[in-house]
Amino acid sequence: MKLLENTALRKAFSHIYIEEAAAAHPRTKAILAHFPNAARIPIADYKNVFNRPRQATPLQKKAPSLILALGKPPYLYEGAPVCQSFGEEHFFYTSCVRNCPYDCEYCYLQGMYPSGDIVIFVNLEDTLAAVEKALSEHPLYLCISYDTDLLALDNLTGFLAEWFALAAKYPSLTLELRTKNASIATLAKLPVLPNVILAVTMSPDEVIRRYEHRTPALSERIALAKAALTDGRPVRLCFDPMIAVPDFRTSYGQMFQTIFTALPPEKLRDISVGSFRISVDYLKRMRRNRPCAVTMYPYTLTDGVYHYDEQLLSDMLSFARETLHTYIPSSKIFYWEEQL
Amino acid sequence: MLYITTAIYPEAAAVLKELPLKKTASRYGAIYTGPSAHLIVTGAGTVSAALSVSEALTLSPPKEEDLLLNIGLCAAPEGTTTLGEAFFIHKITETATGRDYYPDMMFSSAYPEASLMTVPTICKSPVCLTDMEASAVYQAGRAFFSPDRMLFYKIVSDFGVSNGESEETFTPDKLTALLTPHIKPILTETSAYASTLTGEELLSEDELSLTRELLLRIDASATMEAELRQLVRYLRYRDGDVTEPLRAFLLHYPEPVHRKEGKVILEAFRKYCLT
Ligand code: SF4
Repeated sequence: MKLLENTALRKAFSHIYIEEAAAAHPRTKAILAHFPNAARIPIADYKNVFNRPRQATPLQKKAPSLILALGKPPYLYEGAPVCQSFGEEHFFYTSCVRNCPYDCEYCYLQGMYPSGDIVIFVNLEDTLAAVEKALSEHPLYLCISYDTDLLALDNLTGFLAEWFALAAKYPSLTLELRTKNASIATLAKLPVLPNVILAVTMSPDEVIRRYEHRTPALSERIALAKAALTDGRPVRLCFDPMIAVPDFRTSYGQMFQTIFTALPPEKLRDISVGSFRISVDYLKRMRRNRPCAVTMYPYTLTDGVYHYDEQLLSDMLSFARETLHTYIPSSKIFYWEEQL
Repeated sequence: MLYITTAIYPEAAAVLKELPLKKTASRYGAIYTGPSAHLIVTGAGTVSAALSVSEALTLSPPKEEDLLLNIGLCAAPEGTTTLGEAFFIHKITETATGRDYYPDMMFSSAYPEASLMTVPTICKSPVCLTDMEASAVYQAGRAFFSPDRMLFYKIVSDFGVSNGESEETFTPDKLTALLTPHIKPILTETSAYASTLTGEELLSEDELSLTRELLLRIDASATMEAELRQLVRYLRYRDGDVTEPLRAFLLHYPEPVHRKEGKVILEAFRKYCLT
């Protein structure tokens, strides 16, 4: 299904579904205060809306509804095999928000979730308690912005202040905050901590223009990374997923050059590199819901994961490797393909 | 195409004033058909509604850009609204099962939004908007439509029916008159939404016939055919048009070849697509 231009589509968050159990939560009230004119629809369980069959996900991504609900255990999930683990033993992620305000055509969330609407689990305190419990047993490397972009939504949720407060209390907790957002003002309100990594996803402008709808331009993402480095924050640059656009060497080569002209490589914590890959089931759903150049690409299948063919994979990887090594020592670069 | 459902004929009459549709044969309820709409008059109650809607959609399956539109009368709590006021429904509760259904509100309607209860018997004192069919229309429709393409409009006809209420209160003409002013605006806004939707982009006739020609030229096996079609679809989404490369390949390989050689040509086409 494709929405033609000039449609009178609803506005994002014009409809807010509120789980009855979450209605009295202070965060629900705080979030609702941002949208005084939205239609408020009470629901018994967020799944009744989020899991409706046959939803028009691409349309919903253009103007999502908001669902406010109470999250239930488990609050922590082990990292999936297609995720970069950075050699961390206790690699987990949380899912306090499901779905993202951005609209990347290649986003795996479209294969994972039946809806493009955004769910906010307002009871963050329960997730934080689960993290504290896990920390009593072992250190934790926790990605808090995998199924969403928490920085982009922070004006609404206010979650980051609480995550940062927890990280300040527990040095054995390392948080990764992955983002394509570029709000320096939002970041500036948060303390500088050695155990909170700001992971900025970088893509060439051509990829942003073609596939990463509504996301900030490369120059804005670089500005965010620069501000974070100036503050003394640990910064990770994520060139993941690399997308096989025609003449990717030129697109990615120019991007690397622009980035490393603006940012001092020696100050970066590390770099993550990975080409686009996705599980069979997710791609099947994405092809059905959103046929486009990324989803229709003739990928190669290995152990239930679609990826570019060996030749292209090796071309992309060696190009990234050769270029990045001129800027940064290899010990600081993590390649997803090496986990294959 | 709009699939419009109403429960009773006086409701349908208001639609028929706006859309010239012809009655066609059906097992359940009545179906009227025209070039841009089907009107299904289901009969009152959830069982009739489910049967009629299922039958109509099975007989004439909808396409991706079609909408299911339920327009009908409802009861409302006294003092909350006026007779003849129309609402766009964002939640339907079926009281018999306690289940809730949520049409996806993808566009801004000119009508105020409200929740609706579908009840099994005529309601004496409604606590919110109340009808007797909407939940069944939704359930029958969801096998064919995404939730954004099932739209429910309800027009207030009464504030609950008391036992001795005279038939004069609800004469067919009076009921039709309550709906009539809303039909055109409803059709206008729903047709505007429908016109913004298209099905998945398909290859043009030209592209399909060039693909077939290339398949013949390379003596494609079923696997080769699947691969070529996948490549063509990918290229179509990436570049917007595949006629040029297909023509170039056909020109470059003007003679039919055996499958072994065909595989080499397919590999060359693959390389072209992926660079
Ligand atoms: S920013 Fe990340 S999570 Fe958000 S749509 Fe893009 S890929 Fe998905």
